[in-house]
Amino acid sequence: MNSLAIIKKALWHENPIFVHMLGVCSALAVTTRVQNALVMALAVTVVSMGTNLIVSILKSFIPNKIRLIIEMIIIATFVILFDLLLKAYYFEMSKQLGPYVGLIITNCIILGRSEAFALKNKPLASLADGLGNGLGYGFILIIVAFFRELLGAGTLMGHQILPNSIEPARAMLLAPGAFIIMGVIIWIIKSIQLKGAQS
Amino acid sequence: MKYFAISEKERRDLMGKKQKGLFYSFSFSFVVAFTAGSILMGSQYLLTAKIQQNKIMEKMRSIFKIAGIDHSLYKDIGIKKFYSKNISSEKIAGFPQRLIYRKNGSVHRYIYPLKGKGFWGPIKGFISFDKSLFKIKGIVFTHQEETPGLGAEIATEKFYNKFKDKIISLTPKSNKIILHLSKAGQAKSPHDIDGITGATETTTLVEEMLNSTLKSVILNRQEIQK
Repeated sequence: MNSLAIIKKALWHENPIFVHMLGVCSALAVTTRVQNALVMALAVTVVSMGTNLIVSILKSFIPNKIRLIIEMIIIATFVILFDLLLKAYYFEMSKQLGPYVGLIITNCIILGRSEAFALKNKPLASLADGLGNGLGYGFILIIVAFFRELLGAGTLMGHQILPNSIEPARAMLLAPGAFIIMGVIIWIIKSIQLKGAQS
Repeated sequence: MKYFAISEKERRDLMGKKQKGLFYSFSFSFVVAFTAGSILMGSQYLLTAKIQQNKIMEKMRSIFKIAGIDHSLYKDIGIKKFYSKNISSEKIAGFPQRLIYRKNGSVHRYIYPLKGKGFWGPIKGFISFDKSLFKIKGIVFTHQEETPGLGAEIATEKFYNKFKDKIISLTPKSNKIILHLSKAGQAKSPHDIDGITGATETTTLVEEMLNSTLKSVILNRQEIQK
């Protein structure tokens, strides 16, 4: 399987969010603003690619019994590094994302992919898998954030879109709004996938 | 391709002869942990100064903004120079520490720090007054952990602007309420400020925090007049 096919698979048929239902927690938490979703998507993609690459390179040296701990160390290193860089060079953004960047360590997509893919595949393919899964996670995040920010705050990327006369539905910014939007999006995507499978 | 769905035997086959001894596991994890630790320590060491700098600059910029100093043309060094030249800190016994911005030698703005608890975590900020300590000239929240889109709206220009030129005094009815954050769109008296819809808790806590600071500002003012 070439890299392009791996990325395509992670984006659609094996998408971490709407097929495997992984990483949903963070997808609900950071999607109140499109900008936050973008940075989160970038962070997860970078960490996922880095972890997959390192795990794949080390795969023949990692003792089977302690492989999960080793994977966690690698993930945590990448996340803390990303957090530090964000604080140093994009201070505003790091303030907005607050603790969510650190919580990428517990994002099951990254551990899941290093377990299920990087431990069994070559470095380049693992890198592609990390990229695909990061993007597959990211594009759903951005769609959810688009609707939540537009409907909940009347803005997009911080710019006012809806006229002031329309009172935005604040509930969209709270957890229930996230669940509703996410559910509707998964419903639509699943029905498209099922139709594709039937024909 | 499924997650975690391979049996122990399959895994062992895949990983081949990697079932190595205890000593190997120990040394391997030591090397990995040591490498990861060194990388993080190194980057922490290299970036701490820059991160600290960011925090200080952010504080200075916030103070400049509410003191009405246009800093858009200044670079970081310029801001620092201007700050140390024109803004000084003052502490009168019994009152909170405050900052004074002097323009051409005379007092132009008083800046008081704000600190209180919010709905999810602490809220910190600054509030500035004119030299008579009657009018609010600006407010900024530099730290808040409120609900994004709801309580977090306190840290927006839209909310800050509502405080501009509000006059603070003790209301005749009770001497408790100095500023009152009412429900959105219901501000009536000159001491009322529109609160934030859907964030009643945050609004109440911000009101509490403001009033406790404002009380000491009023006392401070009376002290000056004596």
